[in-house]
Amino acid sequence: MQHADALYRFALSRVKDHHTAEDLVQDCLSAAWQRLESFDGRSSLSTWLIGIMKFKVIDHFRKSKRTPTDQAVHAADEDDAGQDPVDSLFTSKGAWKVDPSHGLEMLASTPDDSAHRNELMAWVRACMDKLPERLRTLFTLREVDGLDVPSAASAAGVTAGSAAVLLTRSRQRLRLCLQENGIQP
Amino acid sequence: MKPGQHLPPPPLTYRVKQAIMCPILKALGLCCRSAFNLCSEKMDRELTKRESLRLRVHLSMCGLCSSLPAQFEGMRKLIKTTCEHEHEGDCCSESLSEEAKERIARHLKSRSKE
Repeated sequence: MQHADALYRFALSRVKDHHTAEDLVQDCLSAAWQRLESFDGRSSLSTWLIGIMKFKVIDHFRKSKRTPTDQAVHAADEDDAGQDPVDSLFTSKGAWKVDPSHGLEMLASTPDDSAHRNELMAWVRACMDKLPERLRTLFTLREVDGLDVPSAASAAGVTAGSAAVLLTRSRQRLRLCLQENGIQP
Repeated sequence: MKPGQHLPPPPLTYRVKQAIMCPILKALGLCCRSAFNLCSEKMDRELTKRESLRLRVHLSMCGLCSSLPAQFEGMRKLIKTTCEHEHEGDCCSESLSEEAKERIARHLKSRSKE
């Protein structure tokens, strides 16, 4: 059970629900137990287990009875009262209203000291948590787990056509959130 | 407060240039907002030749947008690093409850007997 906490943290970071995360840990360890002979020791045990957990999380999203829909584009933005936050960054003619590089210096280099790095990661997590659930799920499946767009869309319950718009919107929101927090390297 | 409201405005030279050029750039699909969207879309799909050309032309002549591709790549890297460290103990304190651990151990034990 020494890896259970790490698996739990990983699952919780994706599904944001304690009970579901616990169930996923159980499923993951159960699957690992069944496939133990396939573990060849080329990677560490924790890396192997996290790899299994990634698939379990993706399966969980696929099975969550999400019906792919174009309406998800609007549903994902419910909390904005219909306004795209990025609209406020551009004039009606499409020119910048704000300096687009302000506060994003941290993207050019990763801070060396661990305290600064942890602070930066805490902000990234906070910004990701601000995304509406469906946007966050889609974005994480695509950007972090590396699924292609149709697979990520299907698991997140949006159509592939909507996914392109939603992914762009997620990036824009995250970028804006990081920029507003303005962490310097 | 609207998002981004307290961010500083772009430099004066940019604003003057845009005031003159903006309607033409928008008509050609070369405005900063289009470039911003294309930079993001480029991370999910291959741009068409036309889109790619539009983006290259815009980035070559707009000092403010020229750093956008590197920013998007940097953000992808940062988010991936953050999420990959999320399960490591030093970044968060969440842990499985003793009750859940016992339940899972019982489940695994019963599976191993089958």
